[in-house]
Amino acid sequence: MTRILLIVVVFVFTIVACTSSTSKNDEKLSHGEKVKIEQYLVEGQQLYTIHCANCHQPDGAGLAQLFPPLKNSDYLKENFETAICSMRYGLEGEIVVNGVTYNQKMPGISTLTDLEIAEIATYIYNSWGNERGLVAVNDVKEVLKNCKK
Amino acid sequence: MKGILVNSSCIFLLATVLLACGGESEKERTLPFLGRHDYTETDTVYHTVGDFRFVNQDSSWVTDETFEGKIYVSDFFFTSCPTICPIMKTQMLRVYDSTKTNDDVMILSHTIDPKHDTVAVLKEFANRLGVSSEKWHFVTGEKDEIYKIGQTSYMVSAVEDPTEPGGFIHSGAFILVDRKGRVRGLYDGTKADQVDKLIRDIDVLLKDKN
Repeated sequence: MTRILLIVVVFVFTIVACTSSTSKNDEKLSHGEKVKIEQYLVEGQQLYTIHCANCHQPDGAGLAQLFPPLKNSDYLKENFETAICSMRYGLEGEIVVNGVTYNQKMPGISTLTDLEIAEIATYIYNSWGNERGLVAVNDVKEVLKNCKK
Repeated sequence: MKGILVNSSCIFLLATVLLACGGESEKERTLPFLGRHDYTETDTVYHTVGDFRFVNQDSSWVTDETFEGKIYVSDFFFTSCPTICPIMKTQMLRVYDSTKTNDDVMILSHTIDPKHDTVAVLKEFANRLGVSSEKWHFVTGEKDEIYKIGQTSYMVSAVEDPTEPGGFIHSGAFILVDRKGRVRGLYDGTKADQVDKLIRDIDVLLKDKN
């Protein structure tokens, strides 16, 4: 009886341990890059909780047909620049995400710094089935220069 | 092995006792009457929600009579609100889902931004949330009337403030009203555990026929 329990516990631990090291590119990254991405993820998650999770939900699933999901989102994948710009400048009008039309104005947060946007983007783009890798602050800077305001 | 057996039977016993006790208190639990009470010689007169008349997402009149004999949960929000409203709507959706099959429970959400939140906007909002207007009324009306009913009937506040993100300050409260229009509970609609309590309290009210 206890042995079975022990086996189950060990099994669960193994699964948890395995899934927590998500990035599949782990081995290709240098130590420095790994630390950086970890840092961005931690900061990004905190910022996400404050600025984004109210609507997009803590698990990125969105809310009904009101707020689009970020989880496994085809829109996010195909519209990197728009996603970055929308964090600072907002987004208005219809968009289609995973086949569903959404049309709720997203307010921009003008006070977010380039670094904060990079951190949020790194978090969003590497959570819930999204696997883009680090979103560097220099890339974010470039994108932000060309936003439609 | 024997030790484990004894241990686990202890836990089982404890759990049974706890469950039994929990069940007991839930059965006997009653909710307080909130607001100012008046006393006559023979009776206590409790605070009740005043008369009102607003328009819902289907352009139908919604009045205090709509909720006569019903238990309902009321809140104040606006559709373009970037801060607490999305959380409130996420949580209110839980209340909606948990009472979906019970026609005795309804929801009344007032917009505090009637200028922007027209009937059409509210209709679209309700549709996108995927909820039925039989159960969940999104209402608009004269701004002053809405603010007044919030303050005088539901004991919550809402005011315009251009410096706030979204332009309004308002309470995130969910207000539980019983079949006779008496306020029986106030809950923070932005906190899941408070809304858990609200859902349990609705069950208490449903069993109470007074």
